[in-house]
Amino acid sequence: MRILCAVDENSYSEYAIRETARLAINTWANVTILAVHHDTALMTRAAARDLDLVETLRRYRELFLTHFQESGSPYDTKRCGYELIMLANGVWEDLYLCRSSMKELKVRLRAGNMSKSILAEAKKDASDLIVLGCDHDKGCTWKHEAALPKKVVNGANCSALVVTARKKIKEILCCLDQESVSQETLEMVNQMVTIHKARLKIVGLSKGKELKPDVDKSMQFILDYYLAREITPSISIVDTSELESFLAQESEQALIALVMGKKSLLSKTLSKKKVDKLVEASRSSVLILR
Amino acid sequence: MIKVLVPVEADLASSIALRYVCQIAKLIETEILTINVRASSSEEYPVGTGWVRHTWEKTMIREAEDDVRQLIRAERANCPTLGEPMVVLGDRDDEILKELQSGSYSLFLEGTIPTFSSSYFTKRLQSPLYHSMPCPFIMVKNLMPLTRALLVLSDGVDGRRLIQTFTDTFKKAVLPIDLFYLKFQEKKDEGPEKEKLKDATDLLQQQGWVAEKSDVLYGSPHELAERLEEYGLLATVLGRSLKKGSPLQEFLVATLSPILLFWQ
Repeated sequence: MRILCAVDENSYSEYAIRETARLAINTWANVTILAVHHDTALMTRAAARDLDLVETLRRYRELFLTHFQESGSPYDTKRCGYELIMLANGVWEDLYLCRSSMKELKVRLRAGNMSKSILAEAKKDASDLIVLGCDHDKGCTWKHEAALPKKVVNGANCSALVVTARKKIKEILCCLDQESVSQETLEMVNQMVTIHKARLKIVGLSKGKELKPDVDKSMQFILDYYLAREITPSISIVDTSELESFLAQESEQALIALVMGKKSLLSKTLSKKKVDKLVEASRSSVLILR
Repeated sequence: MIKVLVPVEADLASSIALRYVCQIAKLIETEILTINVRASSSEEYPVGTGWVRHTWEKTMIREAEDDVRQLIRAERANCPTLGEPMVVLGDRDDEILKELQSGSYSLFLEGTIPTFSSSYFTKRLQSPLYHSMPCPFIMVKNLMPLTRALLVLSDGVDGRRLIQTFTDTFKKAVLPIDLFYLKFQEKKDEGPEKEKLKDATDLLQQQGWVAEKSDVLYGSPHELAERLEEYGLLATVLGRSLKKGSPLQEFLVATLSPILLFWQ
């Protein structure tokens, strides 16, 4: 798994780093911490070294690594020591070796349009998930490019998690694309539940009074999947006509996870504008799974 | 031994109901009977009389049996006492009610997946089947581990009937219970609730049960539902003339736990 954590120098980015670290502890993901400087003129090599943003990035790296002090870090690059290596049949030598880290932790700086740079990095790095924070007091914005979180969430080909620092997450509300749910999606939700020690609510979308038989079957599969992992989810059915008001109500306290597969009922029901509105208005974190 | 009737179809709600009733069977000796009622759809498919109709009905029943058998076979791994389902053609609720009225059941149990709008739950309670229910019933909204139950007293709830019916149903089950008096309001000066709670606690003791926790809890129906969400079963008594929007009913709509109900 590859996680791209997009940051700037504001405090909401610290929460994104913390959330990325929590995810990385459980998944041993390859992680890139990326900051983008909006002023391209500053980005000569010498100037970059002096930027405050570089210091901030280094601080974020340390903050990220503090989460691994107890558990042992897969990002530790100082694995040096003597190892007995076989040179030939019956011949060994005790050699001093330095091994590279098991997992990558890259810290990167880009210059240019911020949202486009984040999306470009995610594409280049083949990221599975982009994590970013935002200023919820101003409707989930970034300082130098207000609409950046919404642009990244809607523009990314991979999953995106917009983290809020406001409240402890007590519940993960998962609107799944019931007709075709991937193992990765279920596992990602599983990780979020474990990290936050939260309850899981699975929401099935219905069109009209009842669940379609294939959706019903898929919900049974999902229920079994989580029960086998000792997670007891609660289940709820929401008519697509009520989805917006349902999400608005639930986003007060639950992390909303939406599976937006290309052919999903959810994608058909929630337009980009509606997703924007949800990200903007949500008082809790939002996870868009693709 | 208690005798439980569970309607089954090849769907999620039935799967949850079957798993839940199997948890009950681990607590008390339980005879589980399952019924699958298939609508005859005679309006859609006009059928003849005599052997034509008879053959058509037999085909319908066989199809239903296959679907439901598959579900029951899957659940039987964890619940060996699950038997073959009765398969009946007709109106679902009518046939279930007939079976309940003729079969001397101790309990009826149905999977009822919660919806965002509360109307389904309320309508179900007001349906002729539930309204004429001859025995206590459990509406299983979610598959919660049945490790602790809560007896809910509130204004207008007959505590004596609640305790009598609960202890009759669960007999000598080893199931920790709590007993709370829910006041759907801000905390005020103490009223007669403490006294009612004490009477109910004494009554429970006479029946050989001990409430590990008992208290008066204050709050809105939603707050209390959220606060008490860890219970594997909530039990209470309802008046047959359901008042729309009564706080107790709102609480029952909001809770995610399975609920054991009986009519006052």
